[in-house]
Amino acid sequence: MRFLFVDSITAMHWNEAKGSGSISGRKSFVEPPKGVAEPTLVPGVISEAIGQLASWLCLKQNDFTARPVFLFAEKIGMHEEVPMGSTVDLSAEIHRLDTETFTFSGRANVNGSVVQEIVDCSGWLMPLDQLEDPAETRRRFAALVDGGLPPDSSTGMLSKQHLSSLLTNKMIDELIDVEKGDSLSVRRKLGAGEPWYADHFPRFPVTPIVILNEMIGAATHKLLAAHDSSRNSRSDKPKSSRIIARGARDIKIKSFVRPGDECEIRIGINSESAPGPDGRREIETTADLIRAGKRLMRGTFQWEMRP
Amino acid sequence: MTDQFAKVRAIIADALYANPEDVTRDASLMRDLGAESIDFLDIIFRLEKEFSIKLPKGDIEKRARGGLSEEEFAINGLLQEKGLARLREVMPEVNQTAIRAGLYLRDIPSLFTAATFERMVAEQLGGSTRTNETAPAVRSGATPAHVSVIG
Repeated sequence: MRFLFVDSITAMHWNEAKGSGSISGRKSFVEPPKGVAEPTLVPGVISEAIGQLASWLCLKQNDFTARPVFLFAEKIGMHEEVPMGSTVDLSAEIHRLDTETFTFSGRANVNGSVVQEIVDCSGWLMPLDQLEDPAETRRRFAALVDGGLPPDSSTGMLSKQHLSSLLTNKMIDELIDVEKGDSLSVRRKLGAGEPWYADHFPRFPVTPIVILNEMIGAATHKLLAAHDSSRNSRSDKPKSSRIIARGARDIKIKSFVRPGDECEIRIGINSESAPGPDGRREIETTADLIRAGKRLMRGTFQWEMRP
Repeated sequence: MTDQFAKVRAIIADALYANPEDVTRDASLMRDLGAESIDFLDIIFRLEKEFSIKLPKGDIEKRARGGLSEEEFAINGLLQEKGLARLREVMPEVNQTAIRAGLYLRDIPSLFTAATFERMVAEQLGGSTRTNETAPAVRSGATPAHVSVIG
């Protein structure tokens, strides 16, 4: 598995870059496991792709000496679901880049429509050679700008089913507590052999935000299921059958999550809209990721529940 | 309370998940509000956006060093009397008795109060002549050792 989601860079100016990522790239990333009819994209992968394009721009600007490490995101919007087979046009704009910090925003479009956007994602820069081999990074960049990666080496994008098949464990290990369907905590230990560490990063493996978000998403699904069960025991409102990530805001990461770390995820429901005519509801949650009693990450997430 | 401080207070409260009422001018961000080094970076980014300012890189430490020699300022990170005196000058909003013998350079962020950020913003908005003004150094916690900003 390669945890690299930009397939080509088509334009790059001092503070702007454009590129693309294919969701139908290498088959192994999208081919559903046996028995699964239709793969579903891990939605955070598109945001990850936007971030990776911004990273390429920063790396180019600092001559491959320092890589951005994401710490804060003001807003991530997930406006539309992206079907398999799509080509995602990516763009990123750097608002700040100095020797130690950066801020960027970016978008992902499919057929001219914005499907996801990131507003003001900031962080610091780490020496590249502490994370990976700079020569290898330069070679990959050269291939991306020189017509893109050949089809047979395209990384594609990650389906939930493929991600699931790669995991030695599920996204969450253990349910610790559910309180009246309004809050929940779960536990997950990150194994040393998790598939994303090879690329993220070879010399200093850290858990990608998209994976942390997937853990949070898996925990949220459990919470919202419990929430609806709790509702249904009090009323005759229909149970929701589908939960879709709609975005996040005020993401803050205070420390790396490393191989071997055992994390607790605590989720609470902040607000819930009344069902619309089509039965859809919007729910906002806040999630905390905690290691040894210390908060590593917090974010507020928006979900849509469809009947 | 000035409108400016109200905004600074709201930003600090948001960044630290604190009750705004707890963010008083003299509240120590680290001791009273539980801030860690990375929170300073968050606060700086938010202040810069809210006020459309740039809190230039540098260091309160750099300003305090001024024309002092290395030995006059600090020895093995331990601030000397002249260094302490200069630090009191560049951080007038801080409880001056907290800047006392035994203070190390790494302790400077622990001196920061909400009023420190209020002053820094005011100086940037007011065209302060203190062109080297800066945010506190980040030296501990999850921050990589090479990062010496914030802001």
